[in-house]
Amino acid sequence: MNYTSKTSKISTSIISSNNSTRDSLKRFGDKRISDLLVESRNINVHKQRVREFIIEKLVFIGGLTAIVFIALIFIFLFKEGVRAFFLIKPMEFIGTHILDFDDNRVFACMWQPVGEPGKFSIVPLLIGSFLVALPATVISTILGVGCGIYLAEIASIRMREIIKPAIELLAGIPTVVIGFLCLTLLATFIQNVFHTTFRLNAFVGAIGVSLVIIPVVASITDDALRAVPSELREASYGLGATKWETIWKVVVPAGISGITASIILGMGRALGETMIVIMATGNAALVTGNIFSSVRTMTATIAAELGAVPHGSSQYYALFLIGSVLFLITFVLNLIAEIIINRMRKKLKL
Amino acid sequence: MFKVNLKKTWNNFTIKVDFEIPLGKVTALFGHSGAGKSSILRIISGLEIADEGMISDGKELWYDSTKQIHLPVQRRSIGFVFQDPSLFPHLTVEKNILYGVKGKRSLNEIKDLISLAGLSGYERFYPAQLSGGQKQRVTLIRALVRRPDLLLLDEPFSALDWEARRQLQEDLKRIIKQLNVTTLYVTHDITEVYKLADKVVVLESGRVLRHGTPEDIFMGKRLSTRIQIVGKVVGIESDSIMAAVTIMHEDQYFKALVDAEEIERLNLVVGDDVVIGAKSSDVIIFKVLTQF
Repeated sequence: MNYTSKTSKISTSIISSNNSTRDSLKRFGDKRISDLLVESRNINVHKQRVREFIIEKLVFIGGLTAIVFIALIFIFLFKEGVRAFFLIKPMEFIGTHILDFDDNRVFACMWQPVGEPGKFSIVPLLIGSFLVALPATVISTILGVGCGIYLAEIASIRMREIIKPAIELLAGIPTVVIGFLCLTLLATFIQNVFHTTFRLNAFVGAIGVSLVIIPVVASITDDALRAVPSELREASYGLGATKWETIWKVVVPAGISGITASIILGMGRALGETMIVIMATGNAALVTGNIFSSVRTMTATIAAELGAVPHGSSQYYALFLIGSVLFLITFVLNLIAEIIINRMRKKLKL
Repeated sequence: MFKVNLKKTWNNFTIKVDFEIPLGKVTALFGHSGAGKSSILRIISGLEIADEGMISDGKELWYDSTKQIHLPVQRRSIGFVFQDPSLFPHLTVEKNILYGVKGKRSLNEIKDLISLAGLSGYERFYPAQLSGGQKQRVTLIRALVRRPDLLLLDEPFSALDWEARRQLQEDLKRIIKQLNVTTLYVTHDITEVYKLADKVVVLESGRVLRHGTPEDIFMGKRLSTRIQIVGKVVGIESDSIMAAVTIMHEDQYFKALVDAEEIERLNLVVGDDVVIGAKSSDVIIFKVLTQF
């Protein structure tokens, strides 16, 4: 069998078939059909290019808007916030010397912006915010991460189909409704159980806020754990580990970067939450470490006071400064989260 | 002797196999992709359940559909090495290896295993710091440290380049022989079958086509003394009488002159896996002259 003769036969047959198609081309006006086809294809290609160009630019503008908006918010907030320093001495944002009941001069951290002179310490507000956000983060970590683990690892498909939408529904409840329930039902219940002095306190607020963050933590944890390759689970079973050992020793550690992210994101939301804390925490700007005491958070202060404050007054700018501080805190929190996650990813190459 | 007798049906695919795995030997499960090799391995390991059949390790039943026995994965004495390294990314090499070890095991023994795989000095490394070949070594040692009755290897080298693969094949052969562990080896690479397997089970669309020693299966007859080159055909040049077949074995090219009729008879095309064999009496060796 001659190999070369075979190929030459094939190549001649290709040429001959080409000739026959050329002959069979019909003329269409002055142009051949093949020319028309080429032309129409060129038009199509052109159209496609224009369309792609427009889509590309639209998407680019979409991406840009987010950055532009953040930059604008940032600039506006800080521009207004910085002006507080022109009207109020920097030290006053920590505390001022006041006379106590025995006429002694004492240093006190107080937020009394409408007093004469106004006291603009943001310390009680910071304490208030964290006294709500930290317990809320702890509660939502325990329940949210637990829920995420259950959804990703243990729940049957049927259970998952029921629970997942339910959690999403929880995330969809307006915060004012949760705040209302905290104010009316939960506060009474907490006071009856713990016999607290204040009916509305940081703990009630924390529980309310955690209801908002649990869905966030649960769904990000769920996603993070489901992204862990099934080979790891199977390898663990293959090495004699039980389901629980596999979850605790393999799946959770492998998905820890996602879980950490969910917790820090949750904390960011807890710090930014406004409606629930304004309704459920009592809004008394106290310097305290007791979670059963009334507190006033930064967000609640801004929301409650900014609407009623004279434009351009010391209080007006002080509120913007609080806003800037809140912005900075959440920014730093997100940054830390990003750094932690990147480090873990690099180390584990996930 | 492990006995495997399985039937499982998916939507449009059925596996129905019946074969044995001799103790202390390497059995290769050979077939093209989609033949059901990996599924059989997963069923034997217990990660999946067959519709009917029986799996036994000679003493104990691992699975029996008629007696309603299904031993969970954890209780089967198996070691599993997957196609992609499945090391736990958050554990060091040492911790990975010790993951499946229940109770005390002498440190020397583990050290021996680690050095047997050429991993001494890497104990404190994380998987992300290792090369693909090293990862598969760790996975192998992790599977072997539990002294499994059956070692299941699912194309463990297919994600590696040829150099790492060749090195690992040698190491695997050495380790398996030294530990005398019964192995079931899934592969679609005929070279690997030749290198490693004592017995081969050829699968096609979920059924056992043939089984026997690699020589019996792939050469049809047993040659007492021979030269064998196993590889893939990468080129055929032929005229009316003779044909030159170029085959690639790992990274080496070999050319063999054969009768053109042979090519016709075998319907040989580029891409086929072949074994070129010759009796030693037929082989001529020339010394290449370097000085004239």
